[in-house]
Amino acid sequence: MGLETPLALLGLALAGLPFLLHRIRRRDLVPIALPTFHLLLDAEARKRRSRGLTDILLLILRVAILTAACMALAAPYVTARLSFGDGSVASVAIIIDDSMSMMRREGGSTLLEQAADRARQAVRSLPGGSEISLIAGGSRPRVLLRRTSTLDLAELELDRIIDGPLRGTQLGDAVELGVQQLGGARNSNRRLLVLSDFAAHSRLTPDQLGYEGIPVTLERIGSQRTPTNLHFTSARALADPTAKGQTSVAFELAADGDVPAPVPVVVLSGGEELARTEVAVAGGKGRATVHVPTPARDQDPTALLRIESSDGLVDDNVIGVLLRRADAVQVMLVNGDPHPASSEDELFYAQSALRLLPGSAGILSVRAVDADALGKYDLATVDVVVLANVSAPGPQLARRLREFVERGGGLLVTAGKNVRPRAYNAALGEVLPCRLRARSHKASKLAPVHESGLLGGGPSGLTRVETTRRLLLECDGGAELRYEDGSPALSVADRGRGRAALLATTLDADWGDLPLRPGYLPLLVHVLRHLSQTEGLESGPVAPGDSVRVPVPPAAAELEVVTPEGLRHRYADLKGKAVVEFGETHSAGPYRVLASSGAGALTDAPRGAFVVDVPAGESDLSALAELASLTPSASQEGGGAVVQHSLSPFLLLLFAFLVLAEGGVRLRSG
Amino acid sequence: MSEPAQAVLGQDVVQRIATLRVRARRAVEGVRSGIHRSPHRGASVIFAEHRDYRPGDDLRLLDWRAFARNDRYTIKHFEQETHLRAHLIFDVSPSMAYDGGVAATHKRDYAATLLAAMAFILLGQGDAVGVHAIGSGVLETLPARARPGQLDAILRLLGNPPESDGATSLQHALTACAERVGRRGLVVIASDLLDYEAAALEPLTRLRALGHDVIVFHVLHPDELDFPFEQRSRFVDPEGDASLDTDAEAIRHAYLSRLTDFIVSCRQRCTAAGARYVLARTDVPVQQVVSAVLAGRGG
Repeated sequence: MGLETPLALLGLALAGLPFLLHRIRRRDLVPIALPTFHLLLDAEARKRRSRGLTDILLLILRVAILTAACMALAAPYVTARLSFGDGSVASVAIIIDDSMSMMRREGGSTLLEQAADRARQAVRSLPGGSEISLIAGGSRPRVLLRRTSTLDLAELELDRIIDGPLRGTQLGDAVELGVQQLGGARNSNRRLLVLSDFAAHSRLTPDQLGYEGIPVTLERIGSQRTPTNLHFTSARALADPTAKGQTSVAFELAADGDVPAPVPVVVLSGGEELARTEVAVAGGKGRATVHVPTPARDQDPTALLRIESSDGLVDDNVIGVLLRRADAVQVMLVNGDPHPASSEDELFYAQSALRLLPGSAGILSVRAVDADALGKYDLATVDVVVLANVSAPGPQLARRLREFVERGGGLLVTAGKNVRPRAYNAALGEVLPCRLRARSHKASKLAPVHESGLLGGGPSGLTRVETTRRLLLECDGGAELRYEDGSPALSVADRGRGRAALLATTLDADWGDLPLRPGYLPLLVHVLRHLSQTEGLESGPVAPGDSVRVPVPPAAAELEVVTPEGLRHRYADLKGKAVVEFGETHSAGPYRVLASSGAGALTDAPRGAFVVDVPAGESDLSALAELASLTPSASQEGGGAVVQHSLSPFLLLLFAFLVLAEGGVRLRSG
Repeated sequence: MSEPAQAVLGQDVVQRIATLRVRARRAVEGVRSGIHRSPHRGASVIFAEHRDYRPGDDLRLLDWRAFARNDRYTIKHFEQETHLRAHLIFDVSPSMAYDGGVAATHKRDYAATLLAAMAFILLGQGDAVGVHAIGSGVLETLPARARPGQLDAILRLLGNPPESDGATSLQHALTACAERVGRRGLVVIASDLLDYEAAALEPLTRLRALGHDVIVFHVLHPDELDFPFEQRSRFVDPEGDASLDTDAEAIRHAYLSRLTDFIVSCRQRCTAAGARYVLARTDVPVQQVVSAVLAGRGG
């Protein structure tokens, strides 16, 4: 603090003027010997209290007026260190890391809130004419505020950043986005400020910060001390083969070091505690398995595991699991040519390939049955039936299969020696996409797949498939795969509410080398999911903020998605929709999907529930080791310039106010 | 005033007395015309008139000689001898020594002129007039006489009153006066009545009980009545050491309200005691006040 014209303070001596005048006036009063003095005294006594206060108030106001005037003339100022920049007009891009690790609480607020406060300070330190741009550094990086000279907008936007999904960190991309925002800025003074906890998972490297003419300031939010943080690394639920009606939930914990006390973990479903255990964490890891009742089909299939221990980051103390695997696509592989030697079995390749699918995904539940026993199974629990080299079904079974497809099931017929075209046409011709004409013994190759609604674009892994025999198909519609001569190799068609497909070759290697090609497993998965009408659905855990395609059960009138916090998102207009897009995946944990048909009650929709996992890597809160080398000059305390702020305008305002107040008091006192 | 008197009293006092005489006479001249020497008729040596007897007349007043001459009952009237004893009570307390910078409105001088005028009238009627100068008590008394030279003595006392150094004590002074004035007479009081004791005017009741007619001239200066002061002023108590610095404009309203209460209180107490109350403002000509009193007005 200082004064530009300190001599003006001499005028403060005038502050005593009201006192002096008061004394002089008292001294110079001419006495009047009024006979009615006692009446006057009496009247004075009545008014003395209020007038005495008024006099004192007036005296104080007059002294204050003179003091304020002198102080204003002295032009006092305060010096302040700018929280950012050098006080000159600049174009600034501020990158705020809004990843999950920034949700860590320190000193009563989250690091993200602290970063927003720091950004506000930086914005306020910019002089008029400056430009500001805000970028969020959590994945995916995004521009919160395009470059603007209306600095107030930045503060509004900073208020909104607090609410959002759990995100990973992509600071490098965010810096690039910030640099893009500064391109074409009207000020040559361009700066970039990155506010983050700079945890190890941010993986920021020097080459991501080297932009000519744009100095990058990195400011660490929060302390450098790494707090102990516990988090789940995995959780799986499997039906317990040893105990009927029980499901094993196995999970693993991790920490950045030993945790002295066992960590309590609780399993919850629908708000109720299903199980509780304590896990010893040694060497940074711990694991345990708990058993919970397997939920029935009309019960909540989701469960939430929660670490009940305070640690650095609360948001990663949960993980979701699906307790009922029946939500996977139920595939029934019907073996038309079983063989004692497994490698010779019709389903050998198919089962071997499907077994390679990630177990945690749980998207396909495969069951193999012999063709002879097919009639004994209830198809109501099956989503897709694969007739692999199966003889044409009898009338009763054929009718059941046709009804199965009409109701929404999927049917795949693959070729083989047992597949007789005429019999198949008679039995299942109504639902098959093509008519079977005959078998061909002519060697052929599959034509390259350019664009397929089923397989998508790109490499299919099927380009070198050669067959020695095949079924000749006569299809009205298109084909997903064709032979080089143009004849259909794979055709799929919608039939009723279901789908049916025909493969002109065998599932095993009897008629060609399809099972030996890299595209075999993807082809199987794509076809099975297409037939089960679950293609495009999430096949595993979802990242927070991602949009999820929730399947709409046939005839569902309403659909409701329940978040881990219990918030319900309702979808009513489902006519003609196979899936709905759900984007409110802000929290980690299990999401339950309920559906109703007509006036029926809401029940858990098959294959609806899904799990949102915390962003990978965000639980590692250890500091980025290279930060010091990245920011030799940056400091958390800030290195802004020192500027002067004049206090004279405020004092002049005070002066005017005091003058008005004095006039008001005088007027009021008469 | 005679030469020896001037030697004794001093030129200044003599001048004041002369001035008082002139003022009093001037005040009375306008009043005297139309006034009978005595409004009362009764036993006296001075014949006044005859009139026919009317039933109820005192038989002692029958003129037997006239009845003998003309055989008619005639009542013989004589001019009544005046034996009224008037007592002028003159407040000379320090509070009466105020003129507000205008000599003509000096309260004590005004009161003296008022009383002198009354003395002129009363002595002219042959009544006995006396004066009591009061302050904290009775300071000086001139017994009531109707003899020649009484007017000079009265004027001398009114023009050169004794000094009073204490606060006014009307109750004490008027009580003392009541003990001295005897029975049945006229008591004329000229005072500012600035004694705030509740019993200050109680002696008026006693005076009335003694058969006196009581006239109270409440003498107040225009400054006291109008409070024309402005800005901040220092007021001091003329009968004490107290002072008050105050903003005159700010306090005017409260003061006038309090003064009005005081005047109303004085009037009510006088009236209650059976006395006539006359507010005498010192910028109003004395003859106007006196004529109003003699005409039965005033107050």
